[in-house]
Amino acid sequence: MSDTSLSGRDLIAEHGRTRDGLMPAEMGYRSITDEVVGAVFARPTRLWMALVGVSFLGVILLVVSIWVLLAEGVGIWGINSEVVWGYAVANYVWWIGIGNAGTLISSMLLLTRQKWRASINRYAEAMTLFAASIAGLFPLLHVGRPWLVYFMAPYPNTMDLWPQWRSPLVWDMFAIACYVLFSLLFWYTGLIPDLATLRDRAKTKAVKVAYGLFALGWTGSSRQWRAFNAYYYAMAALGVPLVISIHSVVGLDYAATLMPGWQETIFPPYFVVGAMFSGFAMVVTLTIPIRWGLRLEAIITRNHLDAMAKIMLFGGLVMTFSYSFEWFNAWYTGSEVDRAHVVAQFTGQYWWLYWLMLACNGAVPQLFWFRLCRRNLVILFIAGVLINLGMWLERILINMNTLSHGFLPATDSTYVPTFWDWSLFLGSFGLFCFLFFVFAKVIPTATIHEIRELAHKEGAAR
Amino acid sequence: MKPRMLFAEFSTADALTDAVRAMAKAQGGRRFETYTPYSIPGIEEIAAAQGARPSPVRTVMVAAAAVGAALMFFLQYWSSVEAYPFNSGGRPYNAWPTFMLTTFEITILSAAIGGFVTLVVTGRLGKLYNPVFDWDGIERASDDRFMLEIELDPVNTSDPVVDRALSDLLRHHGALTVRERVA
Repeated sequence: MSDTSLSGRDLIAEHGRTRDGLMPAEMGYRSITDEVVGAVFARPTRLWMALVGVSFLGVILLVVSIWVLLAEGVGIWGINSEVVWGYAVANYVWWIGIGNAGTLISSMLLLTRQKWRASINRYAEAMTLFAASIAGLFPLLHVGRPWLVYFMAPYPNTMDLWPQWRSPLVWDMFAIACYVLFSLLFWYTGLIPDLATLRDRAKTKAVKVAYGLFALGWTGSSRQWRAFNAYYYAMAALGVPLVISIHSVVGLDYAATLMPGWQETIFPPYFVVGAMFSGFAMVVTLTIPIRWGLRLEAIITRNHLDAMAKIMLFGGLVMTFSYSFEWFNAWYTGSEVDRAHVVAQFTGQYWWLYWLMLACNGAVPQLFWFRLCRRNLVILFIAGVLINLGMWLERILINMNTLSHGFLPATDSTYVPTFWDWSLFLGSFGLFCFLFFVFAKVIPTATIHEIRELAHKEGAAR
Repeated sequence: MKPRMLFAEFSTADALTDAVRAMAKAQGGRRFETYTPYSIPGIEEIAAAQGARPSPVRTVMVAAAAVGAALMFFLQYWSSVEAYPFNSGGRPYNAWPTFMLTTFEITILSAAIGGFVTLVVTGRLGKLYNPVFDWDGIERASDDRFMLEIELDPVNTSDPVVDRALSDLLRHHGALTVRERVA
């Protein structure tokens, strides 16, 4: 109680850190609540307002791009009769990859009892939810007539038609829909106890009612905690295979075709690791501004970033292995078109993008062999952005390289993105940032009840 | 006759656990409930020893998963074999290996939804008002205080000596306040 007024930083200055460096050695429950809830109830800063404003411009760009697309058709994009999958499909794969990581991170860390999870899982899950929802937008727009998309749903209709269950497109729709709903339930359930904290801390009636409605009358009774834990851990256990299946289905969209560079058995696992890799990079990219902007240095420490950097290093190694396996596979199959595909990757019209991708995904993570780089915020942030760029290039190149170099040299073509390709991508990014900034101000960015539990175990609170 | 409630407030999780353990030992079988800012395994153990059953959440999840899986597989089988058989390159109508992908996704989603509904029902969530909210200071049960509510016998049947012993026991184990009211 005596430390009510002390912030996390002051506590570290006074008591030092716990032995594993995850939190101040003395941090009462009240200080933990103050630290996280304070960020929600504090007056919005000018910086935050500016960020929301800028990202809202992106939302406007997205709306305009979709409007024009619906009016004009997919001809406004750079896709042509050969390269039929352009930015829309690449962006879909990239966003769903980022979206997969949040649940994967949160579930795996919970199941393996990683103590450092509590500080990052909440916004990793929020990231999942927003990214997966945005990802779902792209296939809808890509089909060209989004208003007929309900044709894919199995429902009795006057045409007596049923979905083609052997088609990856149908698998995709089920995978995304199930995943978005699952992520929403997982995220919301973990949020209920913290919403109750906000309800009990709210100063005005309107705020109390708003949080109270979503807290569902949570009391923290042992009966509720028992049901909560049973459900939450079971969801985490289900989340891991679900995520793996989702991105495997995305990989199958490619692997189920006959195209060179796509028809590979390695695609499903390689897509899953790519998702984890880009997702951790995105979490790091988001964490650094969040902990600085919301002053959460006591709860999100450099040890957290260090641990994430190690996972990025692992992801980078697996990605590099996957790329080299693709080259090996092309050589080993003896298929001429596959070999020509690899040569085209290195020396074809998109060679510079391919080399840039290899640099971002293969070389940049090697920095994390060094402790200095794992703990330097500037290096981590730049590396996170570069890895995201590299993973985006990978998704783009998977489409462009294969489709522009098919079986017939006569059909070789070039994909040149148009203004509307870029505007839709930037707009989706704007929507993501907008949702994220609003989330960070309205909902506790760290899981308060788990941090309390951690504080008790670590001896920082009794 | 309405039962009376005793309400004790603790500042640490350890004190609460000790008090509940002592109470279970001295006056076993009393109905009680704790309200805490995070889940405390010690309380779970005591409640289980007193006969509290484990949450049915996971049983329901398994059942929901099985039902969801069966329905989804049946839908695919029926629509591609009976309702709309479509010969695609001579592939079998009952292409069950490819049906597994959507069946798997729906299985997981069914378990998730079934479990959430069970959580809401058994945790009595969705009821925004709870009589426990009438105690002063209960709002700190979601922050930094650990509350214990015990059901006492109705006024005419209770033994004041036993009641007094109970509140003394709670205070002895570090209760900051002990209060009483008719439920």
